[in-house]
Amino acid sequence: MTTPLLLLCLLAPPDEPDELVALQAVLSRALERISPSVVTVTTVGGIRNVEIPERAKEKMTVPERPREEREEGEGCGEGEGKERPEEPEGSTPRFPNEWMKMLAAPGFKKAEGPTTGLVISADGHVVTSAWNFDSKPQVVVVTTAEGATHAARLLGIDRASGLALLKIDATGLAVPAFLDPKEVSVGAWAFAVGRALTRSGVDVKYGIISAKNRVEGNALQTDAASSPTNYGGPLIDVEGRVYGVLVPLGARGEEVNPNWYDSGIGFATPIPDPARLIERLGKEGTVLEPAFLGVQMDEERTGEGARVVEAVEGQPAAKAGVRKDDVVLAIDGTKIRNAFALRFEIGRRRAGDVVKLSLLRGTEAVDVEATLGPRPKEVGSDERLPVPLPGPGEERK
Amino acid sequence: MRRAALLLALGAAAALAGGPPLRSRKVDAAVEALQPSVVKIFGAKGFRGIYGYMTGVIVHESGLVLTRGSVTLEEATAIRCHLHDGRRLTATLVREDRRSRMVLLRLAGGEGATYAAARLGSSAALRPGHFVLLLGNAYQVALGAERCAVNVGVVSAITPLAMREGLFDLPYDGPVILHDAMNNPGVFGGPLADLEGGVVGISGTIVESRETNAQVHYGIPIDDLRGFIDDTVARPDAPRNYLPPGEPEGDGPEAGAPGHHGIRVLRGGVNRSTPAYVDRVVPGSPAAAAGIRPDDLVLRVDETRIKGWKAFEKQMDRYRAGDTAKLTIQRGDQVLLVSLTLVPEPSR
Amino acid sequence: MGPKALTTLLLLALAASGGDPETELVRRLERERIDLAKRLAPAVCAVFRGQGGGSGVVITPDGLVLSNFHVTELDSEMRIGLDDNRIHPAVVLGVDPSGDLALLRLTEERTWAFAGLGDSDALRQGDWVYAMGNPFLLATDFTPTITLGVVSGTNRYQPGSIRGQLLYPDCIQTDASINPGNSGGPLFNFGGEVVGINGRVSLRDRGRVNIGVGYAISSNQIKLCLPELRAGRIVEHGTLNATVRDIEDPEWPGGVRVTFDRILDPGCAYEAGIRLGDALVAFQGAPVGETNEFSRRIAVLPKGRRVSLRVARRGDKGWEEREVRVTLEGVPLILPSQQAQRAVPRTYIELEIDRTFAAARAALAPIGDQVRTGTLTVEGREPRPHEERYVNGAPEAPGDLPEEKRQDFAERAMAWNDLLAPEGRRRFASVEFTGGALVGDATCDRFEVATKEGGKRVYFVELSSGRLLRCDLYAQAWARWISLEYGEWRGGWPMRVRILDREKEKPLQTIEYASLGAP
Repeated sequence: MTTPLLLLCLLAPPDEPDELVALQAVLSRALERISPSVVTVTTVGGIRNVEIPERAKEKMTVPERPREEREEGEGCGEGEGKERPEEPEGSTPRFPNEWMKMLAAPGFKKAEGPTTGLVISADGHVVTSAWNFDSKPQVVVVTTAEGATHAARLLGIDRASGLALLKIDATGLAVPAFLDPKEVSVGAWAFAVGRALTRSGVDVKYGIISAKNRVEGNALQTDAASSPTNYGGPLIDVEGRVYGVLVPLGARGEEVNPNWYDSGIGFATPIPDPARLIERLGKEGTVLEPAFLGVQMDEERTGEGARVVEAVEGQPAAKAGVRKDDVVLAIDGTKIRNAFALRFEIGRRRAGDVVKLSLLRGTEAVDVEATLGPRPKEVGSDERLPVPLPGPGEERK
Repeated sequence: MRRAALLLALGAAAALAGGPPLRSRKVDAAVEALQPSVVKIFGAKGFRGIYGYMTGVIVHESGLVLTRGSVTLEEATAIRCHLHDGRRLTATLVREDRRSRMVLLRLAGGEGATYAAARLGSSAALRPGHFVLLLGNAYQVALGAERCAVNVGVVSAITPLAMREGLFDLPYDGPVILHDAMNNPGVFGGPLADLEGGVVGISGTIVESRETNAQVHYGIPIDDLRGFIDDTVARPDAPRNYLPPGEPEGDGPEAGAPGHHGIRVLRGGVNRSTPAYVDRVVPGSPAAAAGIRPDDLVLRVDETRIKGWKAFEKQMDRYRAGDTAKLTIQRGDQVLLVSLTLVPEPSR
Repeated sequence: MGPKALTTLLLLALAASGGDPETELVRRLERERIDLAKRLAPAVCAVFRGQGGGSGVVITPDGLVLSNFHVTELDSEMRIGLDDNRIHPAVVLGVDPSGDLALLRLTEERTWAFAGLGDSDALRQGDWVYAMGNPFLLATDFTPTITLGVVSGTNRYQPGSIRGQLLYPDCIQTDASINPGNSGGPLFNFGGEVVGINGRVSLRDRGRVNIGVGYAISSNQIKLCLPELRAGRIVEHGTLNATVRDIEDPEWPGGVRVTFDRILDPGCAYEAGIRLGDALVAFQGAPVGETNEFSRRIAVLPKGRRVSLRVARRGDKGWEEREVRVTLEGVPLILPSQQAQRAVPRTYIELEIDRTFAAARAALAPIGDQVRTGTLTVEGREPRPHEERYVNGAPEAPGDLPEEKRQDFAERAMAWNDLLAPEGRRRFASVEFTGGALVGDATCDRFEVATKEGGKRVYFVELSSGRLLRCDLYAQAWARWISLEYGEWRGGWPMRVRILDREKEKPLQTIEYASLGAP
């Protein structure tokens, strides 16, 4: 095999291949590799309208359509310094309520329709996003790559990561390769794969890994377009290995509305250990909630470890005996570099999990065990709100 | 041996390295090749909610411009076009392809004038994951000699968009190129090109799925438009409406006697979201012959997902006598596929 | 060895090692991009202003940061999050409200990771770019979000909304995902240079999210006003106080005649003799084909720039051309809450200088690259009568000096630097004060602080010739910085600066300014 190849190369040295042309070929192979594990998930029935949070019921103003009027007359052109017609008052969402307005629109119906799922065990465990399950559908149907349709049972939902686990009766299903999030690099190619746009194959959108440790440490961020068609589907690398499963989470782990679709901000929850996921979510009716430790950390600290400013009374840390000025050096044996590292470690755990905290109290090493509680509802008053970008002709002060 | 080979590979790689990563010049080159044929089109203004500007591509050197049809072109007294070098010409609407909603304009550049026509590629060769370039005048940012913008994406899928479900307002029932390059007002009618710079599709409007509320960017494959283009070039005096060979005249699939299937679903009253459970089956009907039973749940009719009893009835009303519908049914914990051929309504 | 031979060798080696060449190529270039992203991330900032925020990028090793004006607005203090997971304090130096730029300085004295400005005119449609920043303030740990896209269009002209505000005369259009929170952040080419500052998007009816049409202020436009920004000025863009329009005219070369259709009187274009109906043939020596092209070229220029135009007027014998020179006037700035500011108590900077010059000179002996802190004292004195008119007046900038005085001032400023650094080496960080008013109309140049008794504060710069230059240190209600002249001059001296609230006479903030080694 090598010899003829050698001869061929000597005879006809090629130009350096183009990276994008090569990527097309590589991606085709990756799609072939992942396709057998990608399924369509459809739900039937259930509540149609979803509860809109109180604060979001304020009148939502919609940014006006981009201006298309230009100068009347024979030519189209803009004079320099020309006066523009005044924008109608209230036509643009104002900061800071803008953030809240973005979260929901009045009368917002949650979108339905087919979404995607990913096989994680040969005997029929399928991971998808929790997207359609808020509405408590009566029937869930999974259609595999071969076209076979199966009725599916909903086993568990993980609210912290946006995943739902389904079970179908099947054997010999293809299971993909999963990547450890620690090995993932920002800037690597990332492709969002779904099976809901077409019946005859998978659909793909391209992008990169935009960031790690988003959504309290639970998700990778990508700019590949994500929307209900590929929620529940895999985000893959160029070799078809799974970075994670696309989930409809917003910036703070809340549910998204249609405005977020294809916005270039998407999240994928990694599945480094499918067996463990099946273990945690495999019992029908399981609902996992995000974990809460109940400490305020010193974010300015420069030394190793994370210093506790306050262990909130009545919360898991205080109950476990954590005190002010304790420095958390490790959690379950994992070294903690700073307050953010601790935050993400807790973020990856769930309410009810028991964690061992290795503390430094003065000069003494102290170990405590804390049972993590559920995260209290955030009022959001100290939320940092992004300064809105102006669009053409929108600015008003 | 293997290690030596790897070392060699590394060494050679190091020697080749240097220069910016993602060195592909394909996109730059493709854009350069295409820009001379890309036209900024301005139609009539004053239509609420409809954009009066779009993009087109010159497909024949005589000045034929392919773009997406719009009422603003039909109503314009003079369609204005800005070419890539800033030349401003008027154009007239000469031909329409109703199926794809694409139209051909002719540039009024004067007797014997020739224009740079785009090279047409092959849409049959496209696969999911192939890169596509979308050129167009998004938001009318470009005027005169300013260049139309380019957005890059990949082909997501090549598939029909289920016109009959009414999920998309698309009269076109053939496969379309779905991609993730951002389509925007002003880009409609612009070219979709592959990495080699050949036009492989023409951009449609943005359509929103009623099921998912997700917006979908699509292009009509160029192979499906060649007939339209070639026929117009060959027959300059052909009638305005283009009919592909073999297409029958008439009202289309809605013509024909109403179809009868025999399924009566459980009506949930005002609550439309009650799933479509079969209440009873008319004896001797196609449903009875196909073995459909009470308590079966209709999940899907052909490609349409059935969300409730009302949706089921509305969907079945589209089928005429003689049509065959494939129903996806859940019975207990089994999912079945049943084929039904509708018969004419039995006389009362 | 030529590239072809090397490629062959590589392919041979890969074939022998069992890898597939296409995947190897893709992986290799992917690794290079990952490394590039890693190299650039430390320079990308999350900029926080109160409850809100945007992005920015560090562009010099001593901590100058670029962002958008609509991120900082007119506030003076910002908090900047970097990918070391920490918040660092920063102050706003200069702003360009028209061009939507802000220049900040990180106040900690250290060497910062930075990214240089590239040449935005070298960009071509289809070039790949990274946008980095903090969309939706997702980065709880301040690590930047990176998105990939191409340059969709170059040298785009995006008009502002209210007259002259947030105008993007020369911007780069990109399809890299840009969302609220990305404002002020960098657009990088794959050489790792900043080619734009992201600040604007076109929107659809989907709320304020990315739709593939984003705009970044070009680095070349930024370079034009960087000196003024460093000088702590509010940059004003230039205008002719006249507008033009495209008129299709088949007899005109090119088919389009750019015609003046609105001229303000009084206005510099009117005063230069331009009238309605005149055609604009060329600007700054280069022909003008259409309005957008002209708008773009003029709007990047600052107020006060003298430009040349070639205009044509239709006479009996046809179109007659002539050259016209005009000094651009400023686009009137309607700064936000300017009305509100008058009601707000003014904040002063009090320069607390507590060492004599002689002591300072001794202390500032050659120190190499070490950082030292120190302060200078001067005596206080009462402002002289002729100086009073500046105390409560509007700020005046060095540019307001008559030409001959400007030159004089520059020389004297350089001499001051020499005083403190006898070897001629520029040692010190720029002195930065707020306001932007340096008036060369004083009689001595010893740096002084007026005493409190007078109820007024007056600041002076002493230059080696013995001349004193008066500084007017407040301009608006916020405390900002001005630097002594012409951006590039690095003269300065160590000092401690305290920002006081005039009514309350209590310090709001104290900043130690250290002297640095040679730049």
